[in-house]
Amino acid sequence: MRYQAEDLTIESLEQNNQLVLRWLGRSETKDPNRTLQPLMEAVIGTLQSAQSVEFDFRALEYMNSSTIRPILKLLQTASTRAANVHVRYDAGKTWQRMSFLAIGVALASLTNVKVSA
Amino acid sequence: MSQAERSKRSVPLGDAWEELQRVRATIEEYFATSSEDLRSAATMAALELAENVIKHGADRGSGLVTMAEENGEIVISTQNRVRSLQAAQTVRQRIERIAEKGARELYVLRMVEIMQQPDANDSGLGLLRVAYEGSFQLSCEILGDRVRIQARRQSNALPS
Repeated sequence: MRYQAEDLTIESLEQNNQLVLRWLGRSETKDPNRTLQPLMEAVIGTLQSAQSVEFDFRALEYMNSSTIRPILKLLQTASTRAANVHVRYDAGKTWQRMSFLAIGVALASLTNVKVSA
Repeated sequence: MSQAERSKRSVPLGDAWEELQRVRATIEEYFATSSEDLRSAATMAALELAENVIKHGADRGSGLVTMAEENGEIVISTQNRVRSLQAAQTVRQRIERIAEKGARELYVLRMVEIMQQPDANDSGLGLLRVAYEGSFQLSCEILGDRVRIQARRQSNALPS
């Protein structure tokens, strides 16, 4: 399945008994909370039956700071629905490494969420 | 002209969100021969600062984004009219707090606050991100009814 909102695409696929959600392109709208809402609802819908889910941000080219709020919200929701949540980023991209290291610290209280390169 | 002597370039900023594409194109061209890390950090800083001008500036169309590189240092700045002196002072206080407390700590703290208030609107992460992710030193000057935000870093600075 593919979900698209402006320049951002999220691909959903089953891989090794886990749901993988690949983020591609850019998220830079003025109000990602609103723009991404239908996308987030669709993604949350796919989480219903997933035991394990991976959010793969490695192909994400850019996101503005306003995108961080819906991402945090999505990861919080995922942590209540799936047994394990894995967030993957590309450590070779400085902006991703810096962003996701901070996101990992902020999410530390969610014990079933793992953030790694 | 060497990179160290590259002359300043400015992009006037109107009120449309789509104008950010012009900011992106200009800054990517300006830093085309720089490392990908530097170009990426400069682009992020310019876009975050320009977004703030479009979202929070007064007298739409009064904004300006400027980029410069001299003596091994890059400077991204924005200038715009403010809605009120109080709004400008709030921005200046935020920037002073970042310098005082440290960008990384405040960035994570803000994310935790966001998780606790998921339905609030403004993320309030833009300036923090410029300072933390981009390794920029921020400063703020209030010039009458205008505010100038400057983001400055060494071209070869490594992220902390």
